[in-house]
Amino acid sequence: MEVLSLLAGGFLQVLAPVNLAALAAGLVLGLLVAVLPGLTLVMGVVLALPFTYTMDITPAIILLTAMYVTGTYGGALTAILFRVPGEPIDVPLLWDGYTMARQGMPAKALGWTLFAAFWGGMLAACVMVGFAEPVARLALTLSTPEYFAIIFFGLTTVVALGGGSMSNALISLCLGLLISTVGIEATYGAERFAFGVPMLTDGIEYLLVMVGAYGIGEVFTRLYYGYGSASIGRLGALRTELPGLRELATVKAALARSSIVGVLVGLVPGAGATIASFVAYGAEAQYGRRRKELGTGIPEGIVAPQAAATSSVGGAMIPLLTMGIPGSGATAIILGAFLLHGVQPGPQIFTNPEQSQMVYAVFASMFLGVLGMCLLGYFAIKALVRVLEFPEAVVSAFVVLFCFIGAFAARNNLSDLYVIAAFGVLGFLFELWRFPIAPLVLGSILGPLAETTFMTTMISFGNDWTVFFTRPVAGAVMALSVLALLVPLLRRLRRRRTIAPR
Amino acid sequence: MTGRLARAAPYALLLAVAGALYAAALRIEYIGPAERIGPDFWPRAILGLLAAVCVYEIAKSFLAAGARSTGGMLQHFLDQASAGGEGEAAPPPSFARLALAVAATLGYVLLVPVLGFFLATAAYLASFIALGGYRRWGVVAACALGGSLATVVVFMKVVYVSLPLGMGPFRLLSIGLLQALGVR
Repeated sequence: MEVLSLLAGGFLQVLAPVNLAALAAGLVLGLLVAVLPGLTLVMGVVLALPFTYTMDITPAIILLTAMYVTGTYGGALTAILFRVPGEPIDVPLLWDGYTMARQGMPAKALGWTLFAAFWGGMLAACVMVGFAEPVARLALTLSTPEYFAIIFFGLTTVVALGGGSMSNALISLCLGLLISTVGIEATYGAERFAFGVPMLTDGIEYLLVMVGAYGIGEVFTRLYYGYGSASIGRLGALRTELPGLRELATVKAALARSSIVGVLVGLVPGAGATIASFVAYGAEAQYGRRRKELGTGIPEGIVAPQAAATSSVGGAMIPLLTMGIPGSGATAIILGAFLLHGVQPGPQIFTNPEQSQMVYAVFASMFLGVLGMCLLGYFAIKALVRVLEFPEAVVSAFVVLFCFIGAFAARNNLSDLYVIAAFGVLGFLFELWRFPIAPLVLGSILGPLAETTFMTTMISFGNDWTVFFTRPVAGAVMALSVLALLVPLLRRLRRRRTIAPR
Repeated sequence: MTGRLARAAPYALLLAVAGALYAAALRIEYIGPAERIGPDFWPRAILGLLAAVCVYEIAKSFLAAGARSTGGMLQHFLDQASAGGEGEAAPPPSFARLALAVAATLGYVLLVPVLGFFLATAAYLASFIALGGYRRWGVVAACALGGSLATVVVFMKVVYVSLPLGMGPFRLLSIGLLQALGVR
C-alpha cells in the first residue's frame, strides 16, 4: 500500500512541466537514436549525458531512462520495414518481422512489435515498482563477500553470454579491469600504472572508456568499412495494425515466456537487452508451440525478442537502484548521471525519503514513457523512418563531436580528449581483431567495485578466500558464475560428440 | 604460416604488454601490514589471467590453427543471423580513410586549445563529413559552421559548459563571437 502511495506521488512529480519535458525529449531522442543504424542505444544515452549536467536529478534520470526504454523499440521499425536493424537488439526481428513484412503484412508486423514493446515496457515498470524495494531490503543484509560474488557473476556472464570467442571476451574483460586499476588505489592509497603521468594518476573514468570505445570506436569502424546508404523511397500508406484479442490469445505463452526471460536476463549484471532478445528468440525456437515455423514470418518470432528486450530494462534497473551495480552500458551511464548529481544508488536510496520519492518518480515515468513510446510509434512512424535518410557521414561527425563534448564536460579537462581518442582507436582495433567491447567497458565499470569488495573481504576475513564459497548467498552466486562459464564449454563438447560419429 | 603469425600477433602483443605491466606491478610501493594482501595483488591476478589466455591463444594459433574458439552462448544465434543474410555487396574497407580520420581526430584534440572550440570544431566537422564521402559542399559547410555555432550556443548558454576559447588572436575571435551570441 505504501508503495502505491509513493508511486502516486511519483506520478504527480512526473506531471511537473520540467519532468514531462524531459520525458518527451527522452522518448523522441531514444526513438531517433534507435532508428539510426550508426547510433546504438548506449551511444545515444552517452551523448545525452552532458545535456543533463545542469538539470535536477529527477528530470535527468527520467530523460536517460526514457531513452533507454525507447531505444529497445525504435530499431524494430526499420528492421521490419527495410531490413535495417537500428540496434543489435533488432537482429532477431529480421527473421520473422521482415519476413512477415515481405509477405505483404508490414502493418501487422509493426502492430505485433508495438504490442510486444508495450507489454514488455509495462511489465518492466511493474517489476521495478514491485521488486526494487524488497531487493533493496535484501541488499542491506548482504556483506562484501556477497557483493563481490554478485559482481563476479556479472563479469563471468558478460564473457559467457556474448557471441564470438570466449577467450577474446576474457581478454577484453581483463583489459577493462586493468584500466580500472590505473591511478590511486582506494585501500592503501598506492599509485598504480601512472608512470609519472598526472593524467593517469587521476585514474581513467569509465565514462571515457565507454564514450571512446563505444562512440568513437564505432564511428571509426563504420568509416573503415564504408558508410551504408539507406534509400527508403516512397513510404506510401505506412501504418500499424494492432493485433485483435483473439490473435493475442494465440501468442500469450510466447509473451509470458519472453517477458520473464527479459526480466531475468536484465537482472543479471553483464547481460542486457540484446542478450535478452536473442535468448527469448532461442527459447521460442526450443519450447514454442510453433517452433518449427519460426523464421517464416510468424507473430511469435516478433513478439518474443521485442517483449524480452523491453522488459529487460526493468530487470537491469533493479541492481542499479538497489545495489549500485550497473549491469549494462546504458545503466552504467545512468549510474554516472546519479553520481554527477551527488546521489549514490544503493539500498540506502529507499530509506532516504527525498531520494525515494525521486526513484518513484522515475518508476512513474516508465509507465508514462512506455505509453508515449507506443503513441509515437503508432502515429509518427513515417517521420521516424524518414530519419534513415540522414547522411551517415554527417550523423557520424556529430556523434564524434558530442562524444568529445560529453567527455570534456564531465571534468572540464582537456586531457580527457586524448584519453577518449585513444579508446576510440582501441575500440576500432577491438572490432578489427574481433574482441568484444562490452566486457572491456563492463570491466572498467565494475572493476573498482570488484576490487574494493574483494580487498575488504580479504582484510575482514584474514585473507580467507573460502568465504566466497562457504557463505550461503555468496556460495550460490559463485556456483552460478562457474555454471555460466561451464555451459558454453559443455555445449561445445556435446556438439563435438554429436558431430564425431557421422 | 603467415596466416598463423597474423592470427597470433594481437595475442603476442597483449602478452608483451601484460609482461611489462606485471613487472611494473611488482614495483608498486605501499605501506601496510605484511600479513595483508597489498594493492599489487589485484592487478597481478588480472595480468596473470590475461597472460594465460594469451599463451593459450598463441599456442592454439600454431598447434590447432583450424580449431574454432569456444563461442559464448549467443554464438549459435549469431551464426544463424549471418547465414540468413542476403549477401549485400559491401564496399571494400579503406585503411587510408580510417588513418585520415584518426589523424583528423588527433589534430582536433591538439588544436582545440589553440584555435578555440568554434574554429577547431568547424574544421573538424567539415573534414570528418568529407572523409565519410559526402560531397555536397554547401551542406558540408552549413553543417560544419552551423553545427559548431549551435553547439557553442547550447553548451555555453544553456548547459553552462565552459568550452575552450583558444590562444592569442583565436581567443579574441572566440570572445568576440561569444559576445555577439550574448554569452557572458
